[in-house]
Amino acid sequence: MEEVRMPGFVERFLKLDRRIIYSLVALAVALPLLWPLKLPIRVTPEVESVFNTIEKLPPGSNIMMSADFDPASQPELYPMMKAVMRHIARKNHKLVITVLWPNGPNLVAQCIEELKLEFPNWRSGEDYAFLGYQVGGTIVIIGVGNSFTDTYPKDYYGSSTAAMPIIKQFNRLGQADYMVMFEAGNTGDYWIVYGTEVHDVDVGGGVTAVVAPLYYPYLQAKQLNGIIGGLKGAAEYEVLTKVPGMATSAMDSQSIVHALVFFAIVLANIFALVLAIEKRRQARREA
Amino acid sequence: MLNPAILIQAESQLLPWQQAMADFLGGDVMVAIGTWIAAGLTLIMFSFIYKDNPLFRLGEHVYLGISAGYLMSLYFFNNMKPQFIYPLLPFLDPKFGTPEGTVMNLWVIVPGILGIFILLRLVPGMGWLSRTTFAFYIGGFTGISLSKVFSGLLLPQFYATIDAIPYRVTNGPEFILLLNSLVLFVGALTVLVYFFFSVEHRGFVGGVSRVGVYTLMIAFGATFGYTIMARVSLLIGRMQFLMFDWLHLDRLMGRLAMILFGGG
Repeated sequence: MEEVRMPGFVERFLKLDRRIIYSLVALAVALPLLWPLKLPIRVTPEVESVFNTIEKLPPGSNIMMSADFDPASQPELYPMMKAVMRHIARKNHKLVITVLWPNGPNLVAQCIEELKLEFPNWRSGEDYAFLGYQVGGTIVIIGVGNSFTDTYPKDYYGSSTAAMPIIKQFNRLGQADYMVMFEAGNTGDYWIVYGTEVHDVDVGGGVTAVVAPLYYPYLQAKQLNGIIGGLKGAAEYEVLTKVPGMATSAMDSQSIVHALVFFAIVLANIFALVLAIEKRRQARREA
Repeated sequence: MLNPAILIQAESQLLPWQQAMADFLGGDVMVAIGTWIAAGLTLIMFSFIYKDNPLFRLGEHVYLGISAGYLMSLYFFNNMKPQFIYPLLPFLDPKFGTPEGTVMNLWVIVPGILGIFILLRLVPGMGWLSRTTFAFYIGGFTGISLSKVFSGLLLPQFYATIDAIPYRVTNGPEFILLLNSLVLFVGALTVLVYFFFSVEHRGFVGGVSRVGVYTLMIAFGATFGYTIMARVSLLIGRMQFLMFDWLHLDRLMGRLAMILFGGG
């Protein structure tokens, strides 16, 4: 009797309406956002390496940043870009920012505006230069290896880059003491091959979780000195800078959904196994 | 269609009904209207989870249309104008005559003609001209890439596979490092064998290639895990937007807490 009922239950579970699973996922995301559980966030060596490099550079060092993403990756890359940019501003480093994705510049501009509220003396042209978007991809990377002013005659705001005090001390990629790139695709590959490897510049990568596995070989080969991977990486960086933000508040939801997915996969596999065994038994009985 | 003039007026001189609207929408009228449109479109896209419907199709087409239009205008105003039109006809530059104005550069005619050649693919009988541009582009880019890809990608990755193997093991961490390096080395070799199709995958080669398949499956599993994390992050981002930027549930929760537990 029990042997007959069990597969029925198992079959019902395996044929569960996907909308029930979606509803569970929605609840698992929404509830921790309203009532945070404050689960611990462990900092990984890959993220710590990027943080330590920026932390240990003497104030006024040149840092290059490339924000190669668009609003589709905003939930992951925006919090980490803001955390890294805040760290750079706090350490008084000189920052030059480029964008190789056409829909990216507005996000960087928004991030700068938000940080200016925290650092009112952080000035365009002196402390940072936001060069904006330039078409060409690889050609732009090769170009900034020679000169920022030639590749970007004007910055995002329309000011002449040649007249900027920051550009007088930092006018090409080779003069960077460190580079951080935020990547939602494979533009980082081009930065490594045509930029940082050619000009011998240390680079750390802030990447979306989807592309993170593609960047780990560079970490293994020491072509990247650290990786900030996905929302988890962003939250880790916020922990290191001691300024909790969007990523930290989202990590509870992330953990709960992961647990849900984990149990769903395990349960589905156990039930699929039970079903297979039961079907085999029934086949034997019928034979 | 909203009249921008009304919105500008709403920001500067608010009539009572406009003030009431601004209060209802939650502050800045422009931002609030944008938020409501974005929230509506997000819900329309989420409606696909229930089932396919005309609103979802509409949302999809609106997204594609706006993206294409935005990109086209971006390329025109950020690239075509400052890098082609102004150097060719500098008097069109609003800063013409000032030190920041564009200087005439007739060399841009060459890439301009090559660009027009690509568009000629649309003209019957003249499409062959586009091959000139592609030949120029592919030839130049191959020349630039070949040495850099070899020295910046292939060799460092090749060295890293061998270089990671420690030649001396005296303690636990070094043993773990050795283990990692061996996994990497064996994994790289076996996957290469799996993709080597000139020898039949039987016997010893078949066994090695099977190890390569398992290595690939483990790598795909790790990638799948990361992909779930990425997709959940996107969902969290949208939920944060809907719950806090649109519905202001954080404020509502704060008020509820004050009512329930007192204070202030």
